[in-house]
Amino acid sequence: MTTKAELYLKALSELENSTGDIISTAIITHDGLIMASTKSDIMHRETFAAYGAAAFKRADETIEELTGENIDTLLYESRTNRVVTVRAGEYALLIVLTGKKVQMGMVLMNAQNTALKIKEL
Amino acid sequence: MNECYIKSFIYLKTNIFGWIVIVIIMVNSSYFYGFEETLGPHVILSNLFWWTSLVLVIAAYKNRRIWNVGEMPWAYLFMTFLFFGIRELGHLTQSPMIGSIRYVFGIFSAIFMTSALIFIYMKTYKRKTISKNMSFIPLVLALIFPIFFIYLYFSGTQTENLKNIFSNIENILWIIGGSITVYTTYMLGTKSTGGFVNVFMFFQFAAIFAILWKFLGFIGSLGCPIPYSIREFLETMFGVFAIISMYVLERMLRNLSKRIS
Repeated sequence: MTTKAELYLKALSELENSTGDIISTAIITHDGLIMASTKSDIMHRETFAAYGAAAFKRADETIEELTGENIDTLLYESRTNRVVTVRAGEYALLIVLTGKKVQMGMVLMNAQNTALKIKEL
Repeated sequence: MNECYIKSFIYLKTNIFGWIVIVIIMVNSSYFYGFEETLGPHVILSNLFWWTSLVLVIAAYKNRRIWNVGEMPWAYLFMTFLFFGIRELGHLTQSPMIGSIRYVFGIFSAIFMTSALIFIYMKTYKRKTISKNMSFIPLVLALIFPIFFIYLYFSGTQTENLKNIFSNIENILWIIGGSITVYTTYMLGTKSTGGFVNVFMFFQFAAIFAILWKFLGFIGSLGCPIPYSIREFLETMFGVFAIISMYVLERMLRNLSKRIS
């Protein structure tokens, strides 16, 4: 029998295959725990999940104070990397770490589609 | 309507917490003016809290793949609760020798609790790899004390003196270890989110109560006796917050495990 974790992993693999220059992807909880993640040599999984969830939480608090709404997508970037975090249902977050070579529109669209798939799972 | 629910829930939670404190004060109050160690309800409560916490650590360990902080922090968390549980079992006998040995287990517990939280902080938030040599430092440090105990015992130190020496070492180590734990849980709590904030917050409360409990014990040994019941109350609260933090961690991991299976 296929577990949910395996289905999540499949969704992440599809996302990575459909978009180039993705360094790491993970489905995490709002607590910063990993539900599924792809292997990455440069990124420590637990750190990725913990900081990803913390950043999303702070951004959610900020946007809630400013607009009274909840955050759906968070995008932040450095000189060489970008991080996209998308809400995937009530409990999960999809977090994607990419390089700068990637087309941002494509990443956002694919991440949002994957988030929808995760939500349905 | 929703806000009303949230308010009533917060009120209920505060109420439950208040009741726990009141019950502990009531249970301990019958010994409130005692200056000596007692075999009262505090011992039963303390044993119950620490052994239940150990069961919760084992239950949480089953889901360690979800919170993969490495084997050593889990092992040290386990040993913290195991050794403190053994220390508390020592209350059940009046033998001065077991009374002295019990402090050695308390020393183990202080060292392992401090180390577990340092390693969790280093691994999760500092991305530091904990080398094999480094992960065994707490074990080596802990081993010094039973060796010291055996040395003093065979060099003819009286049991009463042995008890005083190890009681003071335990006091000092819990004060130092508790202070480090307050710092690490503060750092962990400010960087984490969701349920982990509660885990580290309750762990910090536990550490604060441990410091207070041992500080009173320490100044008591310097000639300023503090009613033992006050220390018993602080020790019980230390156990209460430790069990709450382990419960929150275990529940968080259990819920997620159900969701992804």
